[in-house]
Parts: sequence; structure tokens; C-alpha cells
Amino acid sequence: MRNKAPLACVALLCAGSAVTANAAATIVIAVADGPNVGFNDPTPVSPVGGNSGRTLGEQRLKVFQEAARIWGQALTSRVPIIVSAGWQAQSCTANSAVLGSAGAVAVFRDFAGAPVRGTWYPVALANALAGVDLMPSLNPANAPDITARFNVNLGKPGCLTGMPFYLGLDSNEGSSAVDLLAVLLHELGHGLGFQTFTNPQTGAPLNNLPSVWDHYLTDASLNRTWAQMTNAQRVASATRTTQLVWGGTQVNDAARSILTAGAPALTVSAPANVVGSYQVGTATFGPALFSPGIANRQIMPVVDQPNGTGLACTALSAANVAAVSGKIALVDKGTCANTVKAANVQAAGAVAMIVVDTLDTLPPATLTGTDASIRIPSVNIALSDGNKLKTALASRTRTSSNVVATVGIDLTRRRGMDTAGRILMYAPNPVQPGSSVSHFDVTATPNLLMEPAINRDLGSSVTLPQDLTYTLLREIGWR
Amino acid sequence: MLLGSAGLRADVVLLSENFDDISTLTGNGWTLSNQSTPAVGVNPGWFQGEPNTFAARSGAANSYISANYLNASVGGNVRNWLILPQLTVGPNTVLTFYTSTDTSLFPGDVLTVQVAAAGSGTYNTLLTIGDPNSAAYPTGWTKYSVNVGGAVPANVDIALVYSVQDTSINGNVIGIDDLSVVNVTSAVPEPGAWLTLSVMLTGVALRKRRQQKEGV
Repeated sequence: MRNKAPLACVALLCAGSAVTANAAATIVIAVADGPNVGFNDPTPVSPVGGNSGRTLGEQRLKVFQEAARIWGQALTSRVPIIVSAGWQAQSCTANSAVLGSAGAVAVFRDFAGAPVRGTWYPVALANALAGVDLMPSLNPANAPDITARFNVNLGKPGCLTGMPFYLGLDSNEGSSAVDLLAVLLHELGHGLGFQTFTNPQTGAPLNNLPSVWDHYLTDASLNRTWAQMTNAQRVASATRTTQLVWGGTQVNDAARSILTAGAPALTVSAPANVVGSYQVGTATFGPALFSPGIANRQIMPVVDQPNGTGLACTALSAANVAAVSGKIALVDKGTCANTVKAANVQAAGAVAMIVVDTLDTLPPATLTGTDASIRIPSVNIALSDGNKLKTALASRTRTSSNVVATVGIDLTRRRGMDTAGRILMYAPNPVQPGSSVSHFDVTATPNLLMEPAINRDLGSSVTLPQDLTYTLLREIGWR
Repeated sequence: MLLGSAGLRADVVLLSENFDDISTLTGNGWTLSNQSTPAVGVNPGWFQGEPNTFAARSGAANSYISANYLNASVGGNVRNWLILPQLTVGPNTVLTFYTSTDTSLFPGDVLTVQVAAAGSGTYNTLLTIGDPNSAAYPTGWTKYSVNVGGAVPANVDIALVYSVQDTSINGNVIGIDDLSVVNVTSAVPEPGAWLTLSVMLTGVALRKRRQQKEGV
């Protein structure tokens, strides 16, 4: 059974030439651009990074062919995968931009060879599993399996100004360009199945049936997959940062082999109602975090404002010195540089500094600044986590508290995984339509192709040992 | 022996509280009321004892009730009331409790015992512990007893009030443990005491008879 209507419609404004990349799977590129636009842009360009195209359109197409070749080598399917690809304006500002978007055009369930009954599979995967084209058409350009669109304005004024796509094939984009090859591999990954068809904002599954994705997307706090939850539970789960994980063993086993052991963390060991490992942003000043770190020390807040907060922008009062000496000092962000705060609590005898952010962003931002005289480690925590600790700290004395913590490297975790060894999925609060739950979390280290933002250190591989994308697609059914 | 037994006290315990779990206090008729000014943001009110601060006088390390200077905002005045269940007290009704702070470094912790006719809201201070301007609060568990009764039996509200003047420079933390309210009597034995005496008398008589028999 096929479901097409709820997904992005396919409107090939101008189907150009179809290009194939022959491998274990054949990916056909159906150009959706009109004359002189996108892949047909005649602007002359010089060869770059192994791309011999002589026009902007040719170079773009060659990058797309390379992405199709890489995916085609990795995947196995007897049915060609048709990708409708084009260039158009996308949301952007001078400092940020949507690079591209892609997704499956249709989904199928209960076809011959479907691994799990009553479950939606993206059409390209369904075709591969069924061994036949479930959506045949005399003209492949009119029946794509994946639609992909890319930002035609990138790098122009007002659209990530001065940072265009890099069209080389060698992942050598430098610091002032965005690697188109990585973007294409990423977007094709979505179209091949790296996505859910369940709405993370409403929690509603497509036509009341789970996507194959939902059988693996797991909320650690509920110990349930999305396929096992109610709509309300899914809505809550979609913003449960650090609790939304991938439940499949293939991906998690592979992740443990490539993600960096040890994650920076604030690990609170008492009292019971705040015990846990808190995500932190590290600092560009002071010593690097280490293991076990500043271990099992009391947290004590600086209080120097009428509302009970503590900025630590000036030398600490005698009362604050008595509070933080020998302790982990808790201060609030703002008013002065983080290095000034660190210098002041260090002078008061604090052994580490926790900054409570003004934002609830997870992971918390890096504390920036430079001061070679800082000898204590500093970390940044989200506002809600800081408020949680402050509530626990309300029963303190002037010189001691019951909140005991370690600032350091948590060796029980890998970067981007939870303590149970499951890779974290992207679950920001508030939810980000189009990004939430259908990416790996941004804390994965080294960076992964399927994080919500493209990082500069990505190569052009979708397979182990560089990347987990193909492993995940295998877990949901690809071969 | 009979003459000696006639002088036994027969105290009646009206209330006994070890603060093992202060979440049960409200359900048992206690009132916990933080009337500090200003009290903006997080303030803990009365809270379960913190073993890191000091251990309880008896029971589990946290089985005491505690309050601190954070019940008022920075520079404010703490008035944190702990009101016992309403009781009928007589001429010899005694409130006993233990209290402590953790260090003599900080001045200004004060605890008062106040009594009001039930529901009147007009409290009279019977006992003051500590000093608003110095570090006079006891730094180890110290016992305090105060007669909270009047000339005739009456229903009363008994309150322990933790106070600090200007939390920017004063106040730290206090704990209270092993509180009781007892009607202390000595002249008229209660029925239970009579029974005890009766048993003793019988015991004495039996023993005497046995001695007499043995003496034959």
C-alpha cells in the first residue's frame, strides 16, 4: 500500500537530462531546473578540487554525480533510485541558511518483502526490499523516489554572505565555503530513509502508522520506542534532549567503535533529586577537562545581586569567599567576560567554575575568552539545569551545601552517546521542524554526516569507519 | 517501698516529634509558614536536615528540621514560622527541644518560642535563643525547655520562629530536633501508675509470704 499525499509533492518544472551512476545501486538524477538555472547555470567557472566542469551548472552536476556514485556503491537495489534535484531559494539570513532539503516522495507499507508489517518505508527502500519498482512510470523523471532542493543563493549578500558552496570533490572547502558534496550526501541520506514520517510537533504518525524509523527512535526516560508511544508522549519526547536515542544495536555497536570515549560533563552525585550527568559547554580558557576531574566537591553559588544571582564580575565579598573557597563556584552568565568571572572565583579559592547560561540551549555554548592566568576549569550549563541546581542549593549554609559534583570527563560516556551506550538523536527544545528527531545529536564527536548542521571536518564517506549513515540505513532495511 | 513509689511522676506526652520526615508535618496539624520579606525567587522554607551541615541529634542523619538565611532575599529579614498543632496546655506544660547551628562564624541566627491563645494570632515570646547581632546561637545540639502553660488549662498555638535581620550580613542555618510537649505532673498518679503500684505491692506481699514459709 502506498501513501503519497501527505509528503512533499513532486513537481518537476523542467525535467532535464537524466544522469546515472552505476554501482550496487543505480541513482538517477532527474534535473528539475529550468534553463540557465541551477544545474543549467551557464556561468563560466574554473575547475576546482577535481571537478572539471566549465560552467557552474556542470560543476554542480558533477558534484551530484559524485554523491550519487558514493551512495550507489554503498547501497544495494535492483530498482534504480530516481532523484529529482533542483536549485531554488531557501530560507537564509546573512549568518545562517538552509543549505538544502530532501525527502522521500512516497512511502509504502505491507509490500512483499516488508520486514515489519504496518510500517511505512520510504519508496526507495521499499523498492529495494520488494525487488520491484512499486511506483513504476514510463518516464522516470515524472516518478522520482526522492526530491532534493538546494539553496541557489548561498554565499550571496544576505544569505550566509560570502560563504558559497564549494564545488570541488576533495572535501577541501576551507573556512569560507560549504562543501556541496557533504550536503548532497546528507540530503540523499534523508531521502533514502534517514527520517521519520511522524510529525514531531503533533506526535501524529502518518496515517496512524509508524515509520520504520519509529521502531528504533527511543526515549530513554520512558524506555519506549516512538512506535510504542502516544502522540502526547512523542511530542514531549521530541524535545527531551539527551534522552532521545537510537535503539538499534547495529548503529550503537558501530558508534561505540568510532565516537570519542569520554564526554565533558558535570556529574552530580548528591542530593538524590538532582543526581545525574549534565551536558556542559567547555571553555577556551583554563585547563582542559580531565578524568576524573575536579571530583566530589560541593557546589556553592556566588550571590552578589539583589535577586540572589551571582555575576562575579568584581572581587568576591568575604561572604562569597567563605562560600566558594575550596568549592566549585556557581555563577551566572552575563555583564562581564567569562574570564573575569573565572579570575574572581579563582582568587576566592574556588577549584572550578560552573556558569549558568541565560539560554536553555543544549548542548550549552562554549565559554569563550582567553586568559593565561586562569588555572581552574570552567564549564557552561543550560539555564534550566542551573535553576535545578539552585533549587537544591537553597538548603545550604553560608559555607557548605549538599550538592556534590564532579567537573571533568565522564568516561562512562562517549561523545554523542548516553551512559547506556546509545547514540543521541537531535531533540532540541523547542522542536525544530525538519531537523528534530531525524538527525544525530550535535554532540557526536567526531562529527557525523547526519547531524543537523554541516561541519567542516566531514569527509565524503557514508560508511564505517568514518561515518554511521549507511550503518543506520542498513539497520532499517537497506543492504 | 509503697511510700517511695507514691512520689513517681506521671508525665503526659501531648506531642512528640523527631522530624524523621518533615513532609508529614502538615498532615499532622503543623503549620510551616515563611513570612520573610522580601522572599523573591527560590527560598527553602523549613526543610529536612542536611547531613552535610550536621547530623541529627538522634535517628537518621537527616532527621531534623532546618531553616536558613535564604528564606529572605539578599538584605531581607527572615521570619520563618514553625507552628505546632493546637494543644490544650495546663500550668505545668513544658515544651522541650534541641537546637544547633553549624558554626560560630556568622551572627544573627535567632529562634524564639512564642505562644498565643488558640486562633488569636497574638503571640507572646517566652524564650529567645541567639542574638540578632552576634554569633550567640549554640553550635552543638543544646536542650531548651520552657513552660508554655498558663494558670488554667487552655487551647494554645505554640510557634518556633526563626528570624534573621538583614540577610546580606547576618544569618546562617539552624536545626531543631527531638521536640516534645509534656504535661508534667507529680502529685496525683495516673491510673497506669496505680496499677504499677498495685503490682509492686502484690510482688512485695508474695515475696514476704515466701519468706515466711521458708522461715517455718
